Amino acid sequence: MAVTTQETEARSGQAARAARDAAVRRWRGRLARIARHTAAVVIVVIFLVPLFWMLTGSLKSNADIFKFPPSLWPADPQWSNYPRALTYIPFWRYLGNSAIVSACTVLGTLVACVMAAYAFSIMRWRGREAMFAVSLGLILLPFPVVMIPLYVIFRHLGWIGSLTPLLVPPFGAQFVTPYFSSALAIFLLRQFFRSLPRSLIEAARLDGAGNWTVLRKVVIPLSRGPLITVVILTFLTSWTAFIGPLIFINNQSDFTLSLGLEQYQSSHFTAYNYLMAASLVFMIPTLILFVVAQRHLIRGVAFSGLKN
Amino acid sequence: MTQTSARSRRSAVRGRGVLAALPFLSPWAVGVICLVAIPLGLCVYWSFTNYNLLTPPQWTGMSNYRALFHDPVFWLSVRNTFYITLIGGTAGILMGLGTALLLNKPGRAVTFYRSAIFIPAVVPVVSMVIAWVWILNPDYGLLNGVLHLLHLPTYGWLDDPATAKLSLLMIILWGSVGQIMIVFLAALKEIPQDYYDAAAVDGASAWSQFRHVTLPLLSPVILYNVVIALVFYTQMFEQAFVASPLDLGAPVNSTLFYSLYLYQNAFTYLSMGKAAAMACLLLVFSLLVVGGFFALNRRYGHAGE
Repeated sequence: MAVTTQETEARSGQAARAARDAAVRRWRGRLARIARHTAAVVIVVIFLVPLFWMLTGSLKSNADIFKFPPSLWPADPQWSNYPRALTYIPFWRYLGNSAIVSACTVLGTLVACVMAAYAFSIMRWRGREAMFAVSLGLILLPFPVVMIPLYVIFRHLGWIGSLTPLLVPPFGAQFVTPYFSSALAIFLLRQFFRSLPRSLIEAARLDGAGNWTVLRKVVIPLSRGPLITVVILTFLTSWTAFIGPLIFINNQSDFTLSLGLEQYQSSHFTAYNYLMAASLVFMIPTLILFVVAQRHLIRGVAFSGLKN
Repeated sequence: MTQTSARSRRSAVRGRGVLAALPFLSPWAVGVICLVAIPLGLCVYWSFTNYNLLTPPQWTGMSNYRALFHDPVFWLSVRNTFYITLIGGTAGILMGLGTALLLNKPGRAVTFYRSAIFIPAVVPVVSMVIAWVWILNPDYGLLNGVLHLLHLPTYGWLDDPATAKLSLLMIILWGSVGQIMIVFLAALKEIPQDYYDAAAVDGASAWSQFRHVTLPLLSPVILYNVVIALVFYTQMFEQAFVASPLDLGAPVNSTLFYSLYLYQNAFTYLSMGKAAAMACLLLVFSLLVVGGFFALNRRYGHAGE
């Protein structure tokens, strides 16, 4: 009898300890989760505040922008800042130039890089790996190294003073920015082309298809995902590019939006509200792309990081 | 029989080899020759000449390199660049890895957090810098406003030589931590859960799991990010240019980085020879970095594969 009581007491004690342990573990897990979310929310707020500041800043009145401490929300939102900012500089002309440059860059990059990637992956020829190593090496070519000679060459060709210096290089697979380049596009496409089932290509060849047909009828239709990624990354980087236009464009009527905004800023350093309004309109295409094609964007960025 | 004919036909397709590949390769090849090889050759040649763009270049031997060696502003730009490369590169990788580890667990909230941290990556550099110039304005900027409300000391940020470089880094990190995070997240996803389960069975703490499983497996990606940071920061230009377009490197040359000084030599002073010499030195440095990267990768990179 006494033994049983002891036993049950011991057993219930054990059960209580186990329950307590489980509760502690549960609480610890819950606390850890709360801590993680709190940290994440703080970081996210820090990352989003500048964008919020741009948005509300674009609606502030000329008096509001010089208040200290600044207000986070404009007392009287000035929607007229937008039309005013967009007419103060030849905004639509710059926008048109940016659109032309981006369209040519995307088209040129697609044509030149798809063809090169095809030669580097599907075709077999002597010296392929060596040539591909050259292509790969160009990913790391610093733009400042070639910018002076390119400027001089374009000047001799009579291209300085027009948009041409920005329109031609993509067709030679030489679109270079610090963030994305043709060389990276070639690499991305080549890796994907290599993963295509060899049997499909051989089958098409046995049916008498030449290389152009294989590329058009087999490779391109199967590569929609990577092609979209390349288009998006190329558009994004050419739309926002700064250093190329800065060096090669010197006619104000040829300015892209990046250059136009930079010039607006350097002449009206404190017209913050108008600068924010113009900047936000400039950002609309990139934000739309971010919302619509975030998956492709992230895949491209992640890919370029995992390539080694 | 069919096998031999198939093989011979296949080799007929391949037999044309280089000739068949040439049309596909020609845009790229023309681009490399005209827009990379020839410019590189000219750059090396001009680095040994006195060239002002208006009169033909004159051979002066090593004088550009000697002039750079004795130019205190050149060394200042090297020091400035070294400073942001070291601090920016380290901070970027730590913040990118930190946010990736924090947001490694899937979930709806986590997806939103990741997107929010990644958004700045699609903001054009010019818009980004213009907005931050206002945020960092000492007299009516947001940051000093917040510090003032919290009764903390305020700073001159971009206007003060002591804080200008760190202020620029704040802008750059805001725009780039999201990308570094994405790369780390993709790498973390590749690590099999079994490794962690095995470590947990062995009684490994969270820290030792990170130290002995995550870190070694991430080392190739960390190495990659180091190289990207080196390449990016050594040619850092746009952010510093837009932050003070009328007075490059302001205040008092505290943000005069290598590429900025190169640009200034070329397009402000028209010392094309000196700028070309700087470009050649930058190229040599980049080649050394890439060579070092491949050597390191060969030795340690396979540890994680």
